[in-house]
Amino acid sequence: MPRKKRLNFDRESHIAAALFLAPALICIAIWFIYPLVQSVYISFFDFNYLFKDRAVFVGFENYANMFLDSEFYKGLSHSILFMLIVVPIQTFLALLLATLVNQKIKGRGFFRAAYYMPYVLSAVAVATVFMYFFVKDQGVAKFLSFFGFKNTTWFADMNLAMPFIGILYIWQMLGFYMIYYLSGLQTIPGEIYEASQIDGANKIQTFFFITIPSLRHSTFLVVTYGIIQSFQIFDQIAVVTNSSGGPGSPAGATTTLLTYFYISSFKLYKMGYGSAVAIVLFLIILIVSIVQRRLVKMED
Amino acid sequence: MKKGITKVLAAVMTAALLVCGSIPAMAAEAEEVTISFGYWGDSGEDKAYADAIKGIESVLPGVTVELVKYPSTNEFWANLPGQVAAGTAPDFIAPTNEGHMSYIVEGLFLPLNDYIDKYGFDLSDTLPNALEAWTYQDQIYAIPTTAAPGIFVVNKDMWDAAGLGELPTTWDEVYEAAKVLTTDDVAGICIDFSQGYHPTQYTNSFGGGWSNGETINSPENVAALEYILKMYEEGLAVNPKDLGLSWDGEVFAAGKCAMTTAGAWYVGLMSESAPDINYEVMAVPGGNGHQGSSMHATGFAVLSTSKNPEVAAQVANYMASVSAQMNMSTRAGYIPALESLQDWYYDINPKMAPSRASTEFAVSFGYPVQSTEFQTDLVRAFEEVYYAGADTTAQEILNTLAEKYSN
Repeated sequence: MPRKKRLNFDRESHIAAALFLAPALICIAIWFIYPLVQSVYISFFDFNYLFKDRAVFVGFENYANMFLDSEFYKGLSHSILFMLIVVPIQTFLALLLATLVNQKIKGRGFFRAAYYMPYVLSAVAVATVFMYFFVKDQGVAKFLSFFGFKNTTWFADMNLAMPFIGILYIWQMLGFYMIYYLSGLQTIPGEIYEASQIDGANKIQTFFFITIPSLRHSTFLVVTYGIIQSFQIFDQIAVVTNSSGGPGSPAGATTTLLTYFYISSFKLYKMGYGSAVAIVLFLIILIVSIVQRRLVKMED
Repeated sequence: MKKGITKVLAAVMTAALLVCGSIPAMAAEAEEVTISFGYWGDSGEDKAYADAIKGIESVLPGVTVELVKYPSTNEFWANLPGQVAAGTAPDFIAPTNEGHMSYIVEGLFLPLNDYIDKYGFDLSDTLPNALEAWTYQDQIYAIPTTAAPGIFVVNKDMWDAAGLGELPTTWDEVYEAAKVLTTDDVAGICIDFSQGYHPTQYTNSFGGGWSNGETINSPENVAALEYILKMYEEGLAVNPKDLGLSWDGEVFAAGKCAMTTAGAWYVGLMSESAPDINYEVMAVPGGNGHQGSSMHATGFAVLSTSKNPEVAAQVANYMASVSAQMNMSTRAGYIPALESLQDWYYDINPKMAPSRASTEFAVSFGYPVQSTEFQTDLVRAFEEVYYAGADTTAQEILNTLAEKYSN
């Protein structure tokens, strides 16, 4: 190809690429980068959203106050604990369900739809219904009392409020992660399973030595997204606690970083302080994502 | 000839200039102004507000009122910052006096005295304690439209079945009755501790009150909180949350408690949700020889972000008329804020009549300026004791709050 023609081709392809990328980049700039920069900026101010003109620059004071606030650590520890417990459980159950609905069984389509259905339901509706079942002497609360659990209103109990949120959350999100695994399972070539059968591998060995390693990219997605989502849990907590003590009730048992951010920013209008909390949450999620990505790359 | 044409043209142009010059002035006279009114409430309130703005054109020519309904109080306050930033916040709203102090102090609500004087708004018939609820440093920040004192309700069937005789008039009698009325399925009393409203009935009736943060840890308030904690400790009281319910009215309507502090809204609630429950309304019982309750007053407050605050204030005044308050009372069950309508209200709401005395001694909530934060901390302190088992005393709780919120 002549040099001039090649240069023209390169320029044209660059322009085409830029044009194709532009809509996405503009959206990211408007909906992600600008709010992020704005949040960082606001976090250095004593900032009441109702009276923006009265904002006062306070430097790192919001961050300093946050790191001295026991409520912040409570929210942080609850968020981390929630993630550490919920993500492994939902990852395991999603894989199990995906494996089950990937079998050639009767009504496979129905089961796939049924397991996915909770994810498309409104979190508010789901939380409201769940609350009814976990009230003292009602449905699930009474049933679980036969297995040693306290017959009480779960979301009004210091020790059971967060597990209740966890159960509610996993039930709703499971179908979503199941779909990730299902699509991963369907990309594993059947020849590998046939070869393993010829070599004498049983089903359990096939699952652990072929299926799970082949699904590592799906697992990366499920775990990464699961961590991010679990750190961002809010709707369910808001519904369960909003009309009876506020987010975090009872006595801070359901306080997470996000509810703490919400209360600071939108209930108490301390937007600068709330932004500082949001930035810390963002950094945590960013670091977790980078570390995980590195680990997967190393494994590859 | 040419000169004649020139003169005619000059005359026409001059006349045209005069006409054109006068157009803005004429337009200004006939300028259309739209005033938006933000509120939240039920269908009865929708109709009452829609009725209240009828005929406004004849009083304020060129003024149109737009009703903007929000799903709830929380939704309104959550949306307001964004609306203020976008310049789309309503011109005036109908908040209650529960969390108003921070908005007054921060300047979100405009003082209305200048408009009251300028346009001669007549507030002489407004109940003094409703007006006091909206007055801060001699400035009036809203035109009161409702005045609901805190009340006390008793499930009469449960009371009679327990053979308790006369209804209680003191907290000591309530305590003794609660011991008899409490069963496995029913709590003697519901003390909704998810917000400041109910604890404030107790503090005020024990002779205390928050006094805008000045008397948080007064002996009367300590006695009131000790009483509440005792009721919980002895298993005589229930928090709606314990039953998976969101507020005291639901608990009472479900027959899960025999008594509770309440408000005028119970009449509508009970007739709709629990028409079979036979209940009595009365003034909040007294404590330590005192009597008291809170005055819950809705008012029309003009926002400082309004582009037409003067017109908004006039619309607010128009919508707070005698007929508008009567209509609101009929449609939504609220107690009017006008003295002259009290007899009328209690005549058509005989159920509420025994609680009328509350209107005499009810005072504003008196939360500190940071009212939302104060209530959040108060609820949190209670939950620490009741749910988390902290051994903090009432005195310690209130000392901590006083340290943080006393001015």
